[in-house]
Amino acid sequence: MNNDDNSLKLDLKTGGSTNPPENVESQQEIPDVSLRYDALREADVNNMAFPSRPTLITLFGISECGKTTFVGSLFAILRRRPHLLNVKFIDSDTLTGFERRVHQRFLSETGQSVIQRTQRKAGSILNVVLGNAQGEDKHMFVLSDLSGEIYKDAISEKSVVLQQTAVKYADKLVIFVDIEALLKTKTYNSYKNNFKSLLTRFKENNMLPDESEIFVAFNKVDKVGILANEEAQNEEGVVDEAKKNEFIQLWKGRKNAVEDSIKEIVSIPDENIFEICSLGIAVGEEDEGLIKLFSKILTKKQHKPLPAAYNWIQNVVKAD
Amino acid sequence: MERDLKNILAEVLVFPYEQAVVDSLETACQKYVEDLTLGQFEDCVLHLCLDITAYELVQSVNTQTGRKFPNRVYRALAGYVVGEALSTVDDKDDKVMFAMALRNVIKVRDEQADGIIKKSIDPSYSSIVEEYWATNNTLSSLVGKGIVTSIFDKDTWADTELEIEKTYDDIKTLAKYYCRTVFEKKYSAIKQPENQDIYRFAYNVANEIASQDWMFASENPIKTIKALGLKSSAVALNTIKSRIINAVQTITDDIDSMSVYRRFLYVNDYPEVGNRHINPQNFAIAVFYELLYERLKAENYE
Repeated sequence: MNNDDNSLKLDLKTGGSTNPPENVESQQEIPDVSLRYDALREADVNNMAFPSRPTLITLFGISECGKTTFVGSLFAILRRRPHLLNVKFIDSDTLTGFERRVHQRFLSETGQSVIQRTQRKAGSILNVVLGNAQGEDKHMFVLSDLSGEIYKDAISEKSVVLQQTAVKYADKLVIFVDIEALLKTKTYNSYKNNFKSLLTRFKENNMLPDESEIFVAFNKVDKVGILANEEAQNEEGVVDEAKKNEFIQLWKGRKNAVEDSIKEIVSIPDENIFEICSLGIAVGEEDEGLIKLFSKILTKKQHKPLPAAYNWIQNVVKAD
Repeated sequence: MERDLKNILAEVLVFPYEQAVVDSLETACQKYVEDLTLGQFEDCVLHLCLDITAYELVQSVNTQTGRKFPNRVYRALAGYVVGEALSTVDDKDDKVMFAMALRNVIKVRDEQADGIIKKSIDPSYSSIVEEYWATNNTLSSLVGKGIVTSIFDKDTWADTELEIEKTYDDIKTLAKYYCRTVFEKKYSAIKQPENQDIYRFAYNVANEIASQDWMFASENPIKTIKALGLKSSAVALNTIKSRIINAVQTITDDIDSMSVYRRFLYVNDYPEVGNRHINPQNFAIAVFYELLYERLKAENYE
C-alpha cells in the first residue's frame, strides 16, 4: 500500500471528520465520508505512481444493473481465488472503496436494502495491481464504477454525457444490461428504449471510446431460471415445462433485440458478449460467465511492437 | 514528422491533460532542446528507452512549468525531446552523434517505450549514420598526373621532380588507399580461430574495425562484418557474457563513457539486457557501432 497509516482520515473535500455521521438511519447505511484507501476521483488517476500507463476499465450501465456488485465480486475473487483468473493480487490504493462495494454486494445478496447506492459525487475510481500467477509482469488496472444515476441523467442531459471522460478514454468498456428489467413485461420496453437512448447519446457526442475493447454483460442471468419457474408454476407448485420454455424463448428474443440495438451503435464481437451472475462467487461454484469476463478484462492491452523501420540492425544488414 | 505532444502523452496518461498543461510542457521541452548537449541527449535516450530518470530534464521541466509530474510523464517528455533534437539539430556532427546515441540504446529498449518512440521519432533518423560513413570513407581522386609512376621507380624525392605542396593530397590519398588495401586483404582472409568462441571473435573483429588508425579504412563496415560468415543462432546476452567476459581484454576505458552492451558485459549495468537474444553477426554490428560512438565522442566531445 502506498500509505502506512490505517486511521480514518479527515474528509478535507467536504469538511467532514472521522466521527460517524450524526443522522445514521440504519446500520446498513454506508458512511458518506471519504476514508483512507477509498475510491479516488478521476483527477487523481494520472498521479498514481506506476511506471506504465494503467489500463482503464469502465463499467457502463443504468442504476441497479449490478456494476457495484460486479466490482465487489471481482475484489472477493482477487482476494480469495485469484488463481481462477490466473493472476496474483499485489496491491491496491483503494481497499476501502472495494470493501464498501463488497459490503454493498453482501447487502444485496442477503436481500437487505441498501440505503445509499453509489454516490453521485463520490470517487468512482478503484485500482488493483496484478501480476501473473508468479507475481511477475505487474500491471495496474483502474476501474471506473460511476453511479448508475449518472448514466440515468445522461439519457436526457447532454452536459452529463460530456463529463464522462472515463467512458471516452476507457481501454475496456463493459456495458451492463439488467436481465431482470428485460424479463419483466412492465419494464422491458422502457428499459430497452432508455438503454438505446443512453448509448446513442454517447455516440452522438463522440463520447464512446475509439480504440477500446467493448464487452456486454447481461447481468443477473440466474433470474432467468427463477422467473421462468415462477411464471410456469401453477397454484400447486407444479412447473409447466411448455410455459417455462416459452418464457425462456421470450428472454432469448429480448436479449437478441437488445444485442442488436447495441450492435447498431457500437461494434462488438460475439465473443465479448457474456451472460453473467455478478453474485455468483460461492467458492467452488463461481459463475462461469463472470469468471470468463473477469479474465478478459484483466488483461493488458495487446502491445503493438515497433514497426521494422525502427530495427536499425536488421535494416543495415538488409541494405548492404 | 509532426510531433503531437498530447498524443505522445496519451501513451502514459489515462485521462488527457488540459491543453494549457500540454502547451506549457511543450514549451518547456522545446526550450530544453535549444541548448541540448550530447550528455543531456544521452540521458533522455536512457529515460525514454530504459526508464532511467533524466534528472536535468525533470528539473528543467519542473522549474519552467512550476509543477511536478508523475515519472511516466517525464518518460514521454524524454521521447519528445529526443525526437525534436534529432529533427532540429543543425550541426552535422551532432546530428550523427545523436543518431548513434539513440541507436545504441533503442536496441535494448523495454516495451513500454515503443508507443512513445513511434509517436516521437521518425525512423529515418537512423540512416544518417551510414550516410556519414559513406561521406567520410571516400577517397579523393588523384589530381597530379603520374604520381604513382613518378614515385614507383625513383630512388629519391628529388628524382621525382614533384613539389611536395602540390602533391601532398595525392600522397594522402595513396596512404588511405594503402590502409584500405591492407584492411581488405586482412579481413577477406580472416577466419574464426578454431578454439575461439564465435561471439568473442565477433567482438574482437568489431573492436579492430572501430579502432583502425584511419577510421574509415573499411569502405563499408557492415559488408566487412557480413563477410566474416558469423552464422549461428541467437543466444541470450547473459550467455554471451559468460562465454566471452574472461577473454575480453582488461578494461582501461572510462566505464561511464561506454554504451549499453559493453557496460552490461563489463560491469553488469542494465542487467535486464541479459535476457535479450542476439546472433553473432548482429552482435558484431551492435558492438562496432558502440565502439565507433565511444571513439567519436572521445575524439570530438571530450
